[in-house]
Amino acid sequence: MPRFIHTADWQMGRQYSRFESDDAAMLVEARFTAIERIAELANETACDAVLVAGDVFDSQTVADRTLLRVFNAMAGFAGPWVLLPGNHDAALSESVWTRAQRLQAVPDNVILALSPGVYPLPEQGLAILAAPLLQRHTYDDLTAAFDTLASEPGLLRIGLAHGAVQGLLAEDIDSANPIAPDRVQRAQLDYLALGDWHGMKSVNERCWYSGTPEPERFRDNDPGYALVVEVSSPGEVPDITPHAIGRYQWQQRRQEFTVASDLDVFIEALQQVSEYAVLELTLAGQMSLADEERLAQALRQAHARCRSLQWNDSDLRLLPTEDDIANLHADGYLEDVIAELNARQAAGEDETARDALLILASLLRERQPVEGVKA
Amino acid sequence: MKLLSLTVDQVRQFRAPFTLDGLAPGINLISGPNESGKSTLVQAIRAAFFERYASSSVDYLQPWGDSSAAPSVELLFEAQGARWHLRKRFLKKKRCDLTIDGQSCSNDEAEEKLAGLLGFQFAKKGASKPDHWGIPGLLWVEQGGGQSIEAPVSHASEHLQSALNSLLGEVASSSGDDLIQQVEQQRQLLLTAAGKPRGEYAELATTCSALEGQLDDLDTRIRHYRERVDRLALVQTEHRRAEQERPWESQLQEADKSARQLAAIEQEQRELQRDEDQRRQTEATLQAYRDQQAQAHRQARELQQRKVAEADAEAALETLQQASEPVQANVAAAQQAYDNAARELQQAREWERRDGLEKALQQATEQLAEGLDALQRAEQLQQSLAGVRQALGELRIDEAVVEDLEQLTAELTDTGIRLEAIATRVSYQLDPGVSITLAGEQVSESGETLLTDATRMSVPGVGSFEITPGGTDINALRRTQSEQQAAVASLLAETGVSSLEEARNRAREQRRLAEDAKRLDAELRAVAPGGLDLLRERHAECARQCDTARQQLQALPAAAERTGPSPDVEAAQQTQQDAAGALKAVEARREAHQLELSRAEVRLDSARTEVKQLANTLAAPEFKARENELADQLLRTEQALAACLERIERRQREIDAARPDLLQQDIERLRSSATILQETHQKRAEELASLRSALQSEGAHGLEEERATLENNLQHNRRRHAELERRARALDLLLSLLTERRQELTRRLQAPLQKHLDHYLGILFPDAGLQVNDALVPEQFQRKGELGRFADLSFGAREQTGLIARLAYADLLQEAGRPTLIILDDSLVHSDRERQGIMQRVLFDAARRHQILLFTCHPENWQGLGVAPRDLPALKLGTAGA
Repeated sequence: MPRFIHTADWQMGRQYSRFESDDAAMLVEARFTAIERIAELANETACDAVLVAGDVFDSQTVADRTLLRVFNAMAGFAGPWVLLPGNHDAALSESVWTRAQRLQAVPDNVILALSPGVYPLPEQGLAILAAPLLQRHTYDDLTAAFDTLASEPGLLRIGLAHGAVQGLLAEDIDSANPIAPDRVQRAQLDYLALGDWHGMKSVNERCWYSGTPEPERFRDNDPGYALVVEVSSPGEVPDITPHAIGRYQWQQRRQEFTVASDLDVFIEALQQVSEYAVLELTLAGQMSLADEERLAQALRQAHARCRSLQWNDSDLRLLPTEDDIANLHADGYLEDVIAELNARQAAGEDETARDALLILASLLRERQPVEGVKA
Repeated sequence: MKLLSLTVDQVRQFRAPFTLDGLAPGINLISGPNESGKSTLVQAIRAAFFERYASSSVDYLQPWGDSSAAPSVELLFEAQGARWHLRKRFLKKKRCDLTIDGQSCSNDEAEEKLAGLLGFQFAKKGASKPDHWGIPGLLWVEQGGGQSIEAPVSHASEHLQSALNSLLGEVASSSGDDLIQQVEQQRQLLLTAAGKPRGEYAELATTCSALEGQLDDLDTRIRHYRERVDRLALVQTEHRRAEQERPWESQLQEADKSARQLAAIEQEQRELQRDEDQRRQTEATLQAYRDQQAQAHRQARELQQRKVAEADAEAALETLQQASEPVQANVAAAQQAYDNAARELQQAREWERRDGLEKALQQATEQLAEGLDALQRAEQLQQSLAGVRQALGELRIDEAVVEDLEQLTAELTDTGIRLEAIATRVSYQLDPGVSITLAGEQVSESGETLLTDATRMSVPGVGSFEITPGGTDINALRRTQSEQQAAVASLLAETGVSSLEEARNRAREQRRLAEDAKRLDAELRAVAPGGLDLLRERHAECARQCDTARQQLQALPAAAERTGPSPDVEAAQQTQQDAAGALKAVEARREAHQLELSRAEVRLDSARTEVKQLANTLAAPEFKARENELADQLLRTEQALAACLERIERRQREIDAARPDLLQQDIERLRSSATILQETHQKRAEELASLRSALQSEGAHGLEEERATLENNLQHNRRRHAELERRARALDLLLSLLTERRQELTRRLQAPLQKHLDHYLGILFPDAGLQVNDALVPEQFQRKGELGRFADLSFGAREQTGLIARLAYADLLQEAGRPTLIILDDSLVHSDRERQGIMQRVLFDAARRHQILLFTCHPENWQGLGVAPRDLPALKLGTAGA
């Protein structure tokens, strides 16, 4: 009963410019950990092989160190790994693959499927039909060749390809690297392992996108898995089990503040975020200066706890209440200034008025005696 | 506030307690001359309020020279509806006691109450300074300080503001001004005064653009890298195809084919060349034959010409032969003339020589006689000179020795005299008939003897006396004398004379002889300048010349008898030369004629030979046969040439048709194509290698990952920059709003002050305006439409304006319920009479609201004030009514 792992879109060498550099470094590091976990999973589930359906590398010119580390991370599993070039790491005349070979970084158990054709793994009972990308983009269906590719009888016919199954994903219409939806039938494949779509997705019972094993964007499409595929014998329907691999949870949230209790709920939620959260918040609505201070405090604490926390509060309006003004001792013309800033905020100008208000509030707060003493 | 009484004790000139009481609620004019204590009273009031009772810096209050004094001030005044009694003692037993409506407090507490009432501060340490004085500093004008307003106002600013605030209610902000400052400081961290980014904010923009530049560079490199990867794929494909097809080989085969065709044509060209050579050869032969035929025709013509030439030569020779005889005759005549002239010249020269010799002989004979005379005279002189020299030799006395002798003799004489002088003189005068023996000599009568040695004197009948001359020198002198005598004798013997006299005579003789010798020598030199030998030689030479001349004369041939004068040699010579010239000329003519004659003969001879030779040749039978043969050969050669030309034309046609130039071009073209194809192939291989190596080395840089890192960095900087930008904008907005509100507030605050100011200004300068600035300081002055700065007004005007401003502040303070007391110490001394008058109106008006203490030493200036001056000296004496 051949059993193998289907994974794809490792995107090694990717960097995260939107985050602070120490956060970004941790996220980069997590991708190496993901490979190690896949190797562990292969051992744990007694898999015969690991198939990577393209985009192992994020670009052709990653640093030598990254390149070497990727192959090192695979050391945990001694069985065959079949790596397929995708659009990010196409098998060009000079590519990340030729460099890897030149650097002698490729271990013997790692098969680079750099040219189209059949890669038989008789010991594992598998015949891998590979459709590597030889250019960055192609508008031909490279898997069409599978239809006429003969494989040794008795071995499972496993397709390995990278591209967009036509008609499946709305945004992929007319996209490059097309794949016919009925390829499995036409080429009589037992299973077609696909890469390119970063979420886990089943095309049909014999054809899946595994998605990327470690999320790298805020798109809620089920990333962070590797698939263990088991086919009892040629022609049988494969048994597919997703295994969670990813470490970080990327979440985007929008929070509208309308009534005071919204903030309490939100703060409670913030207190629950895990250390592996990568959060991006959009804050809107309105709140008093005092509430804003509470919010800022909660955000600071959450920021210290989770991997990354970013928020955009340009739609959040501040409404200084009378209590605010009294607490801040904003007497005389300062009160006028606060009113003016408030009016400007309401007039929907840019966030400058709001920022000014915050600065004023913080300066005034600094002038107040510390609360304990005040009592 | 109303001051009721003031008491000072031990304060400067007030050594005893002095009380100024009965002070009016309005103006109090206190007058007194200088030094009468006006300023002391003012000082005492200031000290009572401003200086801490414990301060040690108030020793100026003590009377002069009394350091043990304890100055004390006591004030009684009404304020805030209460009666205040203040007692303060400084330096000794320091105290401060304050009673407010019977409630007492003392020391620090009392002082704080005072400061709070009047609005001033105490110095933390040492003497109170103007910036502590607050409101009183503004309202209490010191001597000569009335014109200065800005500093006092700024020191009182806080109190003025708070007075204004209390008037206007809660419009001001308790923390607004500090806040503005804070916002300004924070804005300064990001922006310059002009609103340009600075510090980190500015640096971030620079960093971002630098990073963007680097990113662009990297993008370019990545693009190049990708282009080269594409290029690599393309070149690789082309290379593989070329490797299979090898297109250059077919080109080379085509080239070989063309080369073979070209070789065949070249063979044909070589044949053509050979035909051409043959053609040229045949043409040359034909020409040679034609030349030979023409030669034969020419020879026949030439024979005729030669015969004419022979006849011409014969005629010329005959003419010349006829001219020979007269030429010969001319030569003979010239020869005769020349011989005659030569003979005559010989004769003339002989005569001339004889005359010369005779003249020389005569001269030599004369010289001989003269020479003999001189010689004789010289010999005579020579002899005399020898005599004199011999005598000189015999005399030979050294002049120096004579001088030595002279000196020695003189010294000897001197010694004798000295000896005589110290000798013992024995004078005697003997009786007649008596004689004595003295030194062995018999003496009688009288006389004198000098004794130098011990001498015995015997007197007959008496005995003998031994007389020994005394003195110490006598023996030394005697020794000297005998030494000198010996020296003289020795010199005389050496010189060979017997006496000095003789020596002198011989020296004189020697000098005379020397003179003679000198004279004789001179004479001899005159007669024989070169010496006697030369003279003799010359004489002998002269004699030889005589002999020679005589012999030459005798050797001459015997002279022919001379008739007439001696012939002129020069003329004879001329004649002879002329004759020789004429002879030479005719001889040359003869020679030329002879030459011409010979030539004519030769010419004739050769002409005859030529005629004969040519005639023989032409007449020979071979000549005819040769002529016939030539005609035959000419015909044959012309036929061969025609055949050759035909061949040439045929071959040329064939060659032209084949176009060998094009064939040559084809070969070049095809071979070059093959080379280019091969080179292209080679270059492709090289490009492949270079692309591979470039890509390998470039790939190793991890460009895209580097780009991603750079992008990270850039984004980070951009985020930070955006944050700072937002903050800068917000601070800018906040600052401008705060400032705007603050200014608006200030304008509102100024309004009540302006009202009071306008009130007084209307009295002092009708139609004038005075504006205060944010700090409530008068700044702009306006009069009759002109605008100027307060600081630019005249001193007097500033003093007057300063005073009314103070009165306006006092009105303002009073409105706000603050105590006001105005103290003027000798104010308005710079005002003219008219202004003084107006100012009295102003003060009178102000005094209706405020108590004013006016101290002056010019009470006459204030007569219009409506109050009686209180004379301080009188008060001190207690003579004034109080």
